[in-house]
Amino acid sequence: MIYLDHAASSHPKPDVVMDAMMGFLRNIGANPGRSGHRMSAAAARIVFEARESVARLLGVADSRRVIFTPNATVAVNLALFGLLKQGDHVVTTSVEHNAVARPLARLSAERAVTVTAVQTDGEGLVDPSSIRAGLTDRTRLVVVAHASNVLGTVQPLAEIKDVLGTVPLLVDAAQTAGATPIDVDALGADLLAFTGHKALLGPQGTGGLVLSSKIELSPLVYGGTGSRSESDLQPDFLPDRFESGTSNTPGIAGLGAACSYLLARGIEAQHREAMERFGRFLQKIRRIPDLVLYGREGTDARLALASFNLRGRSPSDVGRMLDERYGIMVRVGLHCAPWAHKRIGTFPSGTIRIAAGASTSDGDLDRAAEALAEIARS
Amino acid sequence: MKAMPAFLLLTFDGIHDVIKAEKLLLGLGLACDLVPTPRMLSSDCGMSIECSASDRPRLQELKNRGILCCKGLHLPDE
Repeated sequence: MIYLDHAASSHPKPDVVMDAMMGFLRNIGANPGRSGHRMSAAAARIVFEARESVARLLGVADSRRVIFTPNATVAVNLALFGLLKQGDHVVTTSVEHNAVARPLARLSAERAVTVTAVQTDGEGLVDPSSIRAGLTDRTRLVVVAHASNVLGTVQPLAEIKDVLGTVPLLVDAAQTAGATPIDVDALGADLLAFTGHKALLGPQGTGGLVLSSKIELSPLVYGGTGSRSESDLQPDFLPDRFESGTSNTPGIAGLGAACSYLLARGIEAQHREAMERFGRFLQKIRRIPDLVLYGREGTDARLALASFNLRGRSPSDVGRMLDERYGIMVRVGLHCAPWAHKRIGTFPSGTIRIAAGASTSDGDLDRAAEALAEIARS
Repeated sequence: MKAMPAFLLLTFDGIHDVIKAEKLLLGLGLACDLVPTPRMLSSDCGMSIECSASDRPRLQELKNRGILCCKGLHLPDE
């Protein structure tokens, strides 16, 4: 079995992730910070250390600004519904995921929020000057996926941030957190949504939102936090303000272990190796007749993922053949990102997407390239 | 003459700050213990940190310098 669907969810996870989750479930299991006993304190220490690890990995000086959520989608929803008011304007790009497109559509209906989706180039890259041109005096937020989950194209965040003036930037880092170096504080990103289960190598059901100290958000969920319990009012301090209800502590334990694992390995070195390996794969599949590859030509400003089609074959047929005949797992279709497919002309059938991950070897990618060549010939 | 209390209690906004402070104090070699916050101080986090009252000057200094992120330092009769 060859798993090449890491952009949907990474697999397998490092042993330390499973050990941390099992360790919590077997030995602790209590509710973090809700009770005064030692097991509750032990659970709270695990959540604290996980938050510290995430903060270190993402370049956040104060870990209180890392808010845990069940996934990146909830984090994006918290940012958008927490920030945008009646009549606000948002600038985004034409390759965003439904995690951004759908809440924005809802906010358009509910709060008359208007949206300008700036057109990217054919490789999915946005020109910062186009974003600047889209700003109006009502623009309350700019939303950019750090990397497209369809094309793997990585956006020039620093250049984008430079043209925004005082307009806050929300970065959707679902595909990049753990895959490429990110320094939230150095970048000056006001909000950054991440998921734990992709390149961060944590379990599903984990993620979060990083908030800058300049951002005022309303919570999405209100309720018990284990603090200020005598009051009906939501606490105003972080992270409690945005973390009502019992957290996914086993998942957070796994996420913390995953981040420590990645910090020890070094994200930059890992990304370089991954791109060298993926570059060789791209060269091989470019030689396959009738294979149409989308996205960037080279390996700079991209992740180790590729979207393509085989002329005359539907993506779903190719995906099924890869699975049934070769034991290769990929994702086909629209990848929850119809905007990106409209941009590259592959809507509504979509593409075949191969996404490498931390466990992917040269042999895995060679086998995939050979399988695609055989399917193309058949 | 009134006897000097043996312990003082540090109170916090939330559990994140409690654990952060515990790590700081243990790192500095200051004895501390996590305890349920007493009812009379229950407007804070459900957990507090009990420290030796003899460390009060040092704890107060850490708080004043913004290194110790507690809300208050409470002696039993305060």
